[in-house]
This record gives sequence, structure tokens and C-alpha cells, in this order.
Amino acid sequence: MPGNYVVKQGDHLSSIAQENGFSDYAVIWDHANNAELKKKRENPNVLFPGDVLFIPDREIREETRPTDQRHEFVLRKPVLRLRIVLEDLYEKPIAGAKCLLIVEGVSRDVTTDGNGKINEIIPPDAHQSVLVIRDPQTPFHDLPIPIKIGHLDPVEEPSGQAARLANLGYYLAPADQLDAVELESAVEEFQCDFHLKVDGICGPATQARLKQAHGC
Amino acid sequence: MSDEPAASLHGVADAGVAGKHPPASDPFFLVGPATADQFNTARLRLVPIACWRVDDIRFQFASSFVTPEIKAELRILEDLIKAHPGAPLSIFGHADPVGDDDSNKTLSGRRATAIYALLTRNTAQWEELFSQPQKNDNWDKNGAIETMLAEVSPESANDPKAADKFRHDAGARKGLFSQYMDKLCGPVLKLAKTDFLGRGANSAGKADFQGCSEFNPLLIFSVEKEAEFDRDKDKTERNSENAPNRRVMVLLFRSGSQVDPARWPCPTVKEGIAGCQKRFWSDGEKRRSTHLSGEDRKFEITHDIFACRFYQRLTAASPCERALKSFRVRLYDGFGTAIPFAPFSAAVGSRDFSAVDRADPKGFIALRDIEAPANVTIRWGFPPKDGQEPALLFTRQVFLGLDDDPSAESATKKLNNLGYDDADNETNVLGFQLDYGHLAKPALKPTGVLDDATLQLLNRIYKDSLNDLRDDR
Repeated sequence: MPGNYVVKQGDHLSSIAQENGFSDYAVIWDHANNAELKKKRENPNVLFPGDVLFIPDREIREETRPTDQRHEFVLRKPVLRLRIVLEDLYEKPIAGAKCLLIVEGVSRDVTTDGNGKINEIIPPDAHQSVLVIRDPQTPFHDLPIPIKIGHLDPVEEPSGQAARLANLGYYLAPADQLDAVELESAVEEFQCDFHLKVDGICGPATQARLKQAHGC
Repeated sequence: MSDEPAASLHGVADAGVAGKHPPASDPFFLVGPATADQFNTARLRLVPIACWRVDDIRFQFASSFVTPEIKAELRILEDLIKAHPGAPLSIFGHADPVGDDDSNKTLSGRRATAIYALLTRNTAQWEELFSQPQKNDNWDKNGAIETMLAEVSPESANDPKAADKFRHDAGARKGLFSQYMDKLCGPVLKLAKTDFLGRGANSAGKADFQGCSEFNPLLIFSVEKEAEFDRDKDKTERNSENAPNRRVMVLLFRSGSQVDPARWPCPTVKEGIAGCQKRFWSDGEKRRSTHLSGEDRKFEITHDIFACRFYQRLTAASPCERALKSFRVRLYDGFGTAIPFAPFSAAVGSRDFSAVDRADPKGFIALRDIEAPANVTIRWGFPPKDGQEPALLFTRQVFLGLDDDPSAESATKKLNNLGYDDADNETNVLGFQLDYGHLAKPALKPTGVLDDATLQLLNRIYKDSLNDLRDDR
């Protein structure tokens, strides 16, 4: 049944697509009815609760093959990745660090690359993840760090600004709780570090710089 | 005081506080997954986990020379470091708002340097402070040598020639500094450069120790108080009221924390204030200089009086930037003689009695991290003979944090603290008038009535008794 879907906290398009029986999120994202949202949000994995997404009907695709032979059908589907760049206090990548990454209860050993990056394929409906950095050179050695996949709000929203500033080490209150005083403090400190006008207001210029510094 | 009434106690504000920061909310990340080239940056943050503060009173006035009484606070620091192995330190000196920013930057930096040098036994840094006096911060003039001598070799303290030798001989001074440092810190508390946040990588101590000038006051006077202090010729009271602003803070960070000194925002102790100003709140000047009518501004209440955003972000959650106080109380026997090593147990408010502990050699005990004013009940006794359980013969309630309260309501509590603890308050007032009345001009008549003159004298005697104890060596 085609219809509108209202985005909840924690949703990302891949998980919405999966729930609705689509292996390729692009079928939804590229639908004409979603053109406006696509333009507004740009990134299908960073939606905002309340966003309305049109879910089209699934199209039935028929393939004709003779029945006296074996055939392979390859389902083309985009992969979903978790990409995290680990840095120390001063943007220096934490390179070659051994980590344990647990996604939806399944753990794997990963090592950050020369740029401190973890780049892992994850299930399309993944939401919960935990990262344990096993590198005594960081003060967060062996501390399980929860990673909530799909919980990042757009940078235009104060909650999205707080979350990015938290990821970058500026916002010191819990990342999912909006504290106006702490947000102002974090914004000023970020503006100061990035040579922007320090006024505590996260306007378009600060938002753009924040998005760039964070990576999405 | 000679005519000490039966088993009395005095509260005296201790000169420091240590504490654990509330556990920082452990980090977690909210991320967007990627179907294109997006990524999420997860940057580790600098997390202060504990703090230690030493107050103005442990320095000579307007000087960077630390007095022998700092020993008590250093024991607390020793415990704190023991409790947080591997946690690097950083020292922040603070001055009060009297005087200009630049000289206050210098003084606060010199105090931070003095503490750093003390902990690392860097006698060369003390020699520099000694031989390059700044305004009132003149160790020699303020009797630093005599004080150190009295501490390390009391027998030579009264010999003026002994001091002269150290005054003119840098080599001898080095030895004296070293002995005095050891005496204050004790055998255990000795830190290496690498125990600090900048790991000694920068020769000027960047990230290891710094002075914050007068930019981060804990207390800003009301308009009225400020005007009154401006009018006063004698600045003693202003300076004493400003004491909470003059402090040295040490922060301990999560074990393994490391910073790049080149990126550390605080200027070194020898640099000017420009680096500080870069880190000010956008309204930092207003934050630190606004006086309100009718009330003081306190950092612990409104959190908006520090000018430096960077410092505030490190310490906003710190228990050491609150006016949680520690108190020292002296335990006496029934004849007004202090009891060395007295066994005691204390209960604050509704808290249970703590385990039995012992007073120091002069009969002092420390009650720490108390939200004043508070009622404390103390039981104490004489040191037991070997193998015996201590008997806590005396019990008394004391009221802490009355120093600043001149009201008649606090008078009963002050009388109680001075030992006049009869159930009938008239008897207490009468007793006080009989004992102290001759000190007032004109002398008080023993009426048993708490009139203005009696109250005035009581407030004076109470303050003096605290000062007596403060000066007790």
C-alpha cells in the first residue's frame, strides 16, 4: 500500500526501506513525491522526526527464463556503511587503533586506518552499535562507547547541532538532551576554534562549518 | 584565650578543598550512517575528573610564597593523586579583581608557578620568584627566609645572621628551598614534569601551569559593597572579602589524557593577557565586571561570572569552584588545653557519626566539604593508652560558617561555639559579659541582655578567636 510515513527519532532511510520491503532505498528517495524532502535534507540518512516520506507501491518485476536451466538472480542493492573518524583532542587521527565494533549484537574486530577511520558495512536496518577502543594511548581505552545509528538530526536543527558538537567534543551535556546554555557555550568554543565570529549563535555559516567538520 | 570555658571548640575555615567531579556523562555518539561519502567525526574530549583548591590564606599576602600551613592541604592532594593513578594535573592560579589585569596575570601566574615548583621540587623556579620580585610579591621583604628557617631549623630562626646567609647566597638558598619543599610535601608527594597535562614538553609550562589573572572570580561584590570598599581608606576588609577569588586550582584529568602544548589555549605564566582574552565568552567583560544592586554575584549560583569560557568549560561541574567549605576545629579538655591526637567522631547535620579519627598534634581536626552554615556534633576524648578503646568523653554541637553573619540570630550559636552553652541564653550572655565585658569601651555591664554593644563585642571576639587559631603555628 503506498502512503505517507512520518519519520521517528532513530529512523534512517535504509531502515525505513527495509521495513517496507524495499532492498534499495533509492526507489523511495528518488520518487517524485519525495523530491521536496530530498532537496531539503540532501542526506537520506539524516532525517528529522516529523519529516513525511512517501512510500510508493512495490513494483513487481518479472524476469523470464527457461525452466530447464539453473539461473542466478543477483539483487542489486546499495550497501549501508558506518563511517567514523576517530580523533584525539586536537583533530589528530587515532590511527591504527584496534577496536571492537558491535553492531546489533554482532561483534567484529576493526582497526582504524591511517586517518583514524572505521569504514564498515552494516545491516540496512542497523540502529544500535557499541565501539570499544582498545588502545592504551587514548584515555578512553576499553570504555564502551554507544553509537546510535540514525539518531543524528539535520544540522539546521538545534538537536542536530548539539549532536555534532558533542561528537566533536564541544557539547558536554548528554548528546541527546538539549541544554540551551551548554549549546551556546559549545557553539562559542567551536566558533573560536574555527575562526568564526564568536557570538554563540549557530547561524548558517556556523552550521555549514559544523557540518563540514563533522563529515555529515 | 586564657579563660577558656569548659571543653570548647572553635571552627576555623580551612584553606582548601578537594573533590571529585561528578562522573562526566560518558560519551556516546549520535551518527548518521552512510550510503555515499559521508562520515562522522568522533573526537575525544578532555575530561577533568577531580580537583584540588588551595586558598589565598596559604600564601603570604599578595605574594607567591606559600606558608607552612599548606601542609594540611598537600596531604589532601596526596590522597587525591593516590585515588586517581595516572591522572595528569594542570594548575590554574587566580587573582582578585583589585588592580589591573596585567599585574594580576603576573601574580596568578607566579602563584601557579610556586605550586608547580613545590610539587616538582624545582628550586630554580623558586629562585626566580625570589630574585625577581614583582610589586608586593617580594619573598625576601615578606620574610620568606625567616619563615622557611623557622620551619626547617627552628633553633636558628631567632638568629638574624642565619637568615642573612641565605639572603645573600643563592647556593645556600637552593638548599633551604629544597628542605622547605620536602618538609611541606612530605616524603611521598613528589611529582615529575611528565605527571602534568602538557608533560613538561613546553619549557614555559604550557598546559602544566598557568595564571588566569582576575578573569574568573567566584564572587563579585554588590554595587553598594563595592562603593563602600572604594570609600574605605583601609582596604583590609575589601581584601579579606575578596579572599575567595584568590585561589589556586589543580585539575586532574582522566588517566592517559594528553594535550598538544602548541594547541593549548592558555598563555604561559610569562605571556600577557591576549591569549586569555581570545578565549573569553562573547560577553566575557560584562560577565566579570557587572555589579548588581543589593546582592553579590556568586559563580556557584549563577555560573555566569567567569570571563574565560575555556576555563569555565573545564570547571563548571567542579566541586572546588563552589563554596563548599572545610573547617578546622580545635579540641580542648575541660581546662582549656588543646588535646593532641584527640580521638574524635563527627556528625554533620543528619549524617551519621564518622568512624573514630584522630586530631593532629595540636588538637586540630578537619571537617571537609561541608555546605555551610551547618550544625556539627562532635564527640571527643583523650588519646587512649595502648590497646584500649578510646573513650569519647565530650560531646558538643558546633555551628559552622557563622563568620559572615553579624545578626543577633547567630549570636546564640556563636556563644555556643565559644563555650557558653547553657540552655538558658540569658546565662550565656551574662557569662560572656563577665568574661569579656572589660574589652569593650565603655566596659559592658553584666545584664544578661544581648544589647547592641554586647553583640558588637561578641562578633569581634568571635572573629578574633578564629584569627587566633588561623595564626596558630
